[in-house]
Amino acid sequence: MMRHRLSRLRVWAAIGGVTVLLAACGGGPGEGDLTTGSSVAGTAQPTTEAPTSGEAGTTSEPAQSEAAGDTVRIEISVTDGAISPEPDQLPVPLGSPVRLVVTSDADEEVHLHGYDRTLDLTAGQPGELAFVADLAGIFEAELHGSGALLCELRVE
Amino acid sequence: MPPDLLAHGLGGRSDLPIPLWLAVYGATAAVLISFVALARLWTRPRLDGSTGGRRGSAAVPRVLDSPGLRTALRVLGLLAFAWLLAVAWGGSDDPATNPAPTWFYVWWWVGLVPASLLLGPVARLLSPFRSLAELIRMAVGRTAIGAETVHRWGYWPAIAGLVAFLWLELAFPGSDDPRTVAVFLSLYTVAQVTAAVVLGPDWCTRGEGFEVYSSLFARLAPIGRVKGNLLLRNPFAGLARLTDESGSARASSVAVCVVVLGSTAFDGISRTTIWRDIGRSVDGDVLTTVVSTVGLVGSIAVVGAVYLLAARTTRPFLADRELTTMDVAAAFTHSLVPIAVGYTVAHYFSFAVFQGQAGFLLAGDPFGAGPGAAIDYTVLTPAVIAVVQIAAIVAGHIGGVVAAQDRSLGLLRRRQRTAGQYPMLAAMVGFTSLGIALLAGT
Repeated sequence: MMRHRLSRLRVWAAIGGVTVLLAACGGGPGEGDLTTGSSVAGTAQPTTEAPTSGEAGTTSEPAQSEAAGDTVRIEISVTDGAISPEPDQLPVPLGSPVRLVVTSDADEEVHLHGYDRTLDLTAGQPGELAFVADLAGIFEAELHGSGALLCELRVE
Repeated sequence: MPPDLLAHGLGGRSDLPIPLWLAVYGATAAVLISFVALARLWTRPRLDGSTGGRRGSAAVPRVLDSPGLRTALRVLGLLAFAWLLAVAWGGSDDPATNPAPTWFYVWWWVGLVPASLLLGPVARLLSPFRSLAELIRMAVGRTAIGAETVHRWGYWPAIAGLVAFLWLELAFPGSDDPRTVAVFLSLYTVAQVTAAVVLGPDWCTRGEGFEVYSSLFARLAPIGRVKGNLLLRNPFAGLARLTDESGSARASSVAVCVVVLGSTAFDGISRTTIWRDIGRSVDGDVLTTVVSTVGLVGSIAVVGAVYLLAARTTRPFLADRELTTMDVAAAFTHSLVPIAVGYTVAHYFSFAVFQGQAGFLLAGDPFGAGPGAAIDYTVLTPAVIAVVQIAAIVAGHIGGVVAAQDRSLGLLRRRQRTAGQYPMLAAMVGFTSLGIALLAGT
């Protein structure tokens, strides 16, 4: 009985010690970590540019500045069902104004989930969707007609 | 056409990955708690279902067990189901304006988990399939086929139904289309009702996927039957009774837990960057579906393999040498359930809160093609979501470890109780780490 109690004590002491160690060296939440959600993937940087076949649409990010406030401009073109640049997850700082420019060679409708925005596209004419990214999360933008995914916006 | 590999296509929103420090803390907490359990804080099985929660159980109001209430619930279930089918077939074919997919995937499928955890086997209480079968049997007469046929098949028919639904939800493109939901539900109803009419109500207990799913989580409910009476009970005592299966039901009862855990794991995997890269290299709807199917089946297979390996590795430490790997696996199945609960909460919590709103917002105009639901995404901040997710996984791990630890005390040789727990513990740490990793990376 006595031995059992002692070994229990030892276990709790060990747990307490490890927890203190972790708290000291492990590093805790950084400033506003949870709210701005800095994650494994790192800070807001452009994802690797998808290999395009020289098409017009490139994903441009404000590479130098990560501050909310700089407008994020995203250009996507749809040719014969093919999306260029390839659908990818694009980081967007929370609170930034966003301009999503889509050009399609057929009449289509762009739907941005979460923000619940729609954009009607006429064939050949670029359409622009402007909004402020004030909702955090990963949101799909898709073509309503074909159901194809255009891109994902990662707002954090 | 480029493939759309997003898991539950409903909603179009996914959670942000949780911060790395939170993931590390969570994983560390889980491992530490496992070692606490290993320290054998109690020496005799306490949570064994055989003492059945008689200790510390309290009576519940009589009305909860009355036939009147049960009939009312069945009627409610049947009416709600008929309404769901009507809206799925008759409403618009756009999931943004038709509430039926939300009712089915969010209110029913995701909602079954908290409802069953709190209230017991909700699916059985509401089951429209049982109700329809009973009505038909009253009209047509009863068949002579007995319960033995059903019992021989164990839970495999239910697993088939569950896997069919999971395939629809996770692998089939366009699963959020209201007509797809309508077709699936109609076929499923026909199959279930036919089987229940021919084989009797016992079919639904073993063969109806949603009922088996709900009953699994109902094991953890604080309200349950103890010696025939409806009482408040210790959830872990109820959980321990899960492994009272024998014979043909053993393997299939293990399989139910494995399927639930594996499919939720696949849901998380399908949202990772790696999976999206795979999806991009594949062209066309058919090939995408094949790839997703392989992923789903593969995830379930890996979970099953890891679990069976842990069971096999535990065998040398058993007090009773006669037990087989499957016996060990069946004895510890209940320890997978809390982990499955943790996974489910972590992956579906925010989805339920956000997309669930659409079920209310669109309900006022179910057959119309009015404007889509203006879901309020500000009710949960990313911080709250992250904390709930990690807490769910860690709590699930604690539950699993406690359940396994208690079962080990009864099964393992006295001198090797610590060493004998390592294999199962390792498997659970593995599942929990996978759960946390899936939360932390996209």
